[in-house]
Amino acid sequence: MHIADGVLSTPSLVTGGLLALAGVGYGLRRLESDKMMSVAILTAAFFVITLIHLPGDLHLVLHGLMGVMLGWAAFPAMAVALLLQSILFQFGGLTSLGVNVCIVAYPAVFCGAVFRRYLKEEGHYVAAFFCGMIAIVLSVLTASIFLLSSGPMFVGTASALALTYVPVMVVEGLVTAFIYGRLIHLAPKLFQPK
Amino acid sequence: MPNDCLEPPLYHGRKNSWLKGEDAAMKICVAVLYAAGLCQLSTPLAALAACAFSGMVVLFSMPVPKEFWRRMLIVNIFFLFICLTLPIQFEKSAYTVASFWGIHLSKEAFALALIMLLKGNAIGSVVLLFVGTSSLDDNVRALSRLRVPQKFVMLILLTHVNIQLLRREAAKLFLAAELRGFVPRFSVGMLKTYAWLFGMVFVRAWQRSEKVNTAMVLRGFSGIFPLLYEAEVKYANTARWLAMLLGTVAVIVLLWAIEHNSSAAQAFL
Repeated sequence: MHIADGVLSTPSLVTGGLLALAGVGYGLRRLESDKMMSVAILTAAFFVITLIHLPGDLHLVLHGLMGVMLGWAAFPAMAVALLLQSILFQFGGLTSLGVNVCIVAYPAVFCGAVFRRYLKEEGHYVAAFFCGMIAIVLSVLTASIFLLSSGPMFVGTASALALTYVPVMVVEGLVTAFIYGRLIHLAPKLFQPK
Repeated sequence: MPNDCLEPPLYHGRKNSWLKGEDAAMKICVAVLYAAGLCQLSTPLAALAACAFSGMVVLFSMPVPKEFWRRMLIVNIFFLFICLTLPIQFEKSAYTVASFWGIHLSKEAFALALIMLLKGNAIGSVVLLFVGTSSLDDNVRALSRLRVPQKFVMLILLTHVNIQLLRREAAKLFLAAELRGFVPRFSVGMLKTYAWLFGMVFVRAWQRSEKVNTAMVLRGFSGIFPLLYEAEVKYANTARWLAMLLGTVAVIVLLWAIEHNSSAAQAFL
């Protein structure tokens, strides 16, 4: 879902940039200085995990889980991760960074707000599954909205994107549920917001 | 994993590229200005001109390392997806060239995909050259000088430091799993194993963050590391900044003029 430079129209890029700036700004204001290291290390953990490919050349996003763990701090964390991916691996462009941040961060924060009340206790595997799955659904929806706002010709691209992410939705939901099952016993503090 | 060395891809290239010695802040400004100017082009002639100009910049920054072409290949994977999917339309139009199973292929959309391909390569090559020839530390210090919020800059630096450490932790965990007979074949069991391994990466990350945070607070950490960099207030540097920025603006104005003229010509025809 990393959109490169030169694809979206200027109004879409500007809108995405402004929305991302608002989210990152608010996330930075909510982020306390003494939590900086924890957020940075968790961001690094997510970054490393997204680089690992499952069989079938599938790679996970896990931004639903990130939203649960980090809350609004997920916004600057996602922006950092996407900026590093753009600079180090050329995944996504510079002018489209704002749009890419919106695609990943708003669903993460939304899923965090909705599902944290369940996931901070044991036994809510279904909620964890839906947290992972709905985060991907919302990201695909957001990406499609940005593409279609650049022109109605993107209808084929948006449809192809949605189709290719259907298996990812299921896998992401399952993996999120399994990770939750592990972490709620080993490190329940991870599900308290930063 | 795609990159073993966590620095921008062209930083460890050959040392005599003139871009490597230039100020990172100036290069970031030029790259962002160029990208912002080019992303508005929408005619084939302007996109081709932009691509040609970017090609000249690439050749002028000789010697161009092999890594540059490998990275441009990665950038073009997304454009391949665009070229394959953009011509797919669900409504017939005057530009439809073929139809099957309710899907119509549009040559206008294909032309648009090619324009995006040219623009994307024009922007991507210059951004890669300018940003990729400085180390990540230099780029982050440059962001700090460009008045990006300190908290955000700190987050980038701290994340970058910890990525390498956590990659090693993840590699150890996966090696341990392989030594215990784990073979990654797609199944629910495989997903569980991967999830448990990812969970352990989180646990190790969280344990590390608790220890490091406590150690830093005990040493008087107040949230900000002072970034040390030389205050570059030299007239020669200022003149180079201005020349590069004015040159970039001139190129963008020229490309917009080509865009305007080719739009007018198309409208006339």
